[in-house]
Amino acid sequence: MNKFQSLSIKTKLISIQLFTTLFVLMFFVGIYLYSQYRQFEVNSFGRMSALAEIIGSNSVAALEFFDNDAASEVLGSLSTQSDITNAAIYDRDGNLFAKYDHPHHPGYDFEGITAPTRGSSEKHFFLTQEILSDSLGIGSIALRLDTCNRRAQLTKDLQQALLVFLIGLLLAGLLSYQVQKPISRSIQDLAQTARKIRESRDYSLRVAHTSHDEIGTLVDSFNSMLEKISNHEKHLEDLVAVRTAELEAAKLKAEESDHLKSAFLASMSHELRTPLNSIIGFTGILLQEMAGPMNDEQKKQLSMVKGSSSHLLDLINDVLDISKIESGRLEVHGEAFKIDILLIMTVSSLRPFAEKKGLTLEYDLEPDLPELHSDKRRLEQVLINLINNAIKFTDEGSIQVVCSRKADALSIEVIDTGIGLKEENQSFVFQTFRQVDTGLNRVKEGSGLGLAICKRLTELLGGTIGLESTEGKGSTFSVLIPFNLGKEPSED
Amino acid sequence: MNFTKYIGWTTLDTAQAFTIGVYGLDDILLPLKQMSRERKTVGQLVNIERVSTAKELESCEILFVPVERSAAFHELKPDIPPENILIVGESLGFATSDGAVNFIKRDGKIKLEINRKALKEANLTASSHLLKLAILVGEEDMLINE
Repeated sequence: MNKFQSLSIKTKLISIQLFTTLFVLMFFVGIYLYSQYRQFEVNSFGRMSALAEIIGSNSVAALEFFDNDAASEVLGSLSTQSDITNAAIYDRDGNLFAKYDHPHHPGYDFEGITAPTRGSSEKHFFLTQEILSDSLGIGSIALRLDTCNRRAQLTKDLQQALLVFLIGLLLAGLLSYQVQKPISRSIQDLAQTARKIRESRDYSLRVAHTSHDEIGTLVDSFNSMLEKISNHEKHLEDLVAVRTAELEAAKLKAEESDHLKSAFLASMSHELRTPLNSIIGFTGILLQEMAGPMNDEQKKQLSMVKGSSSHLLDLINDVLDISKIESGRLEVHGEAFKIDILLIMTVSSLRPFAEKKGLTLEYDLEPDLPELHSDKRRLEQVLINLINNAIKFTDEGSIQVVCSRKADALSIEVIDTGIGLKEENQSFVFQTFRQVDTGLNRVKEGSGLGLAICKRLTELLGGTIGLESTEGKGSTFSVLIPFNLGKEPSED
Repeated sequence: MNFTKYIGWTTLDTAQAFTIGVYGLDDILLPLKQMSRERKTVGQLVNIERVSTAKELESCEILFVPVERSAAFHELKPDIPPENILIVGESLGFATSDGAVNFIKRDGKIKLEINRKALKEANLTASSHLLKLAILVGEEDMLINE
């Protein structure tokens, strides 16, 4: 059944018609042959019975007067019946009285079957009938009829029937092939169009309307469904186009705003820095008493002005840097330099700030490190930011800067024994304007931009930055910078 | 007794019993009586009678003359009514001279002899079935008469 289900409609229709024809033909041919055989059987026994009656009545006198010769003579008249092969007359006691054999079938023995009966074997019919005289049984007659000829005729009939059967089947096949065409073609068209649409997603395709039956209705429904899908798709496309245009406009607007914001911040930072430098410069002059002597209180107050100004300048520098980076205006320039000198200089310049807090600041430098080809100023900025950050968040202990080679990159690790970071805070320390809540309500000053700048600069230099930290025990910031930035100066 | 239905009696009264007379001998009487009880002849009851005189023959349709009595039969014969009695014998030449029907043994089989002339004289007819089985005797006389 499953195999039948997987056949095409065309094959199914032809098969159904062929099987129906086959069944009908088989049924009628079977009935015809059976009725032929039955009729032959009935006719044969009818004739045998009539013959037995005639022979029997003609043999009554012979039986009554025990005249075997006369009975044999009567039986001899059967020679006109070519299909009666053997016959015998038995007396009242069942003894053979007279016998007849067709010349081609001599010596058959009825084996004393004297009771009235009818029977058949593969090639013969048998009939035994009683011989009556005045309603009294005085003997019996047995006849044997050869059915070979008739069977041969029946076989011939069967062969002819089979021939007719085959021709009928062939005609039915041809007819059903022609008849199924309109049905199967419509369904095939439908299936083909559906497959094309699935493959090409072209909903403008339509199936031709060929009939007004159920298939015609199906085609109409299919076409109308396609129309609806097509309209719906067009509507969706239009909607997506409108939305995309809106989003595009919004994106452009946002980018423009962002760019304007960064440009504004950059120019504002620059404008802010100029007067601040004057303040710092002139405060320095005053502190050096170049404009006249000052008492201790005045010096202390002025130092505070200078410290705050310097801090403000740092903040402005940070804002300027991050703005430049985000607006894509910060450029890196590769140059060859030795990391040893840069590291020693940086650590030396920052050591006083560490010592002021009672911390030790040391470095560990792997010997014979190759020359770097990178942006020296930006790398220095990263180093300063990381060491400053370490000093800021370490109250006691030490800060160590370890510089080593890792494959094609330079590894710089800044290890402190500071307050460390909770695990959940570690993910956003590199984000702009994010300062981790230490639980002490901002005891540490800063813009929250230092680490974000470090991350952006490291990335500009083609490297990565990472953090390992345990709360209360300290943090380790790791920077990996490739030895070679590239011959051409790159820009973000 | 079998052949009685093959002989036609023109004056046969079917309402009365069919009578077979046996001439003089008792030996064959009993078996014949036994047979008559078993079957009827021409749909009638059959009586078997022993006869010794012509007078006793009046009610008989058949007179059977046993071989032992065939010589004595010549004495009786002139008194026998000429018609409607079938005289049956079982001795050689009986049908030629004395009766119409005779049973003889030939080649170990019992054969039937019929004298058609005698039958005709007795106003009796024989069926073709019977004639077909029988040996016809006295035919020369038949031809002369015809």
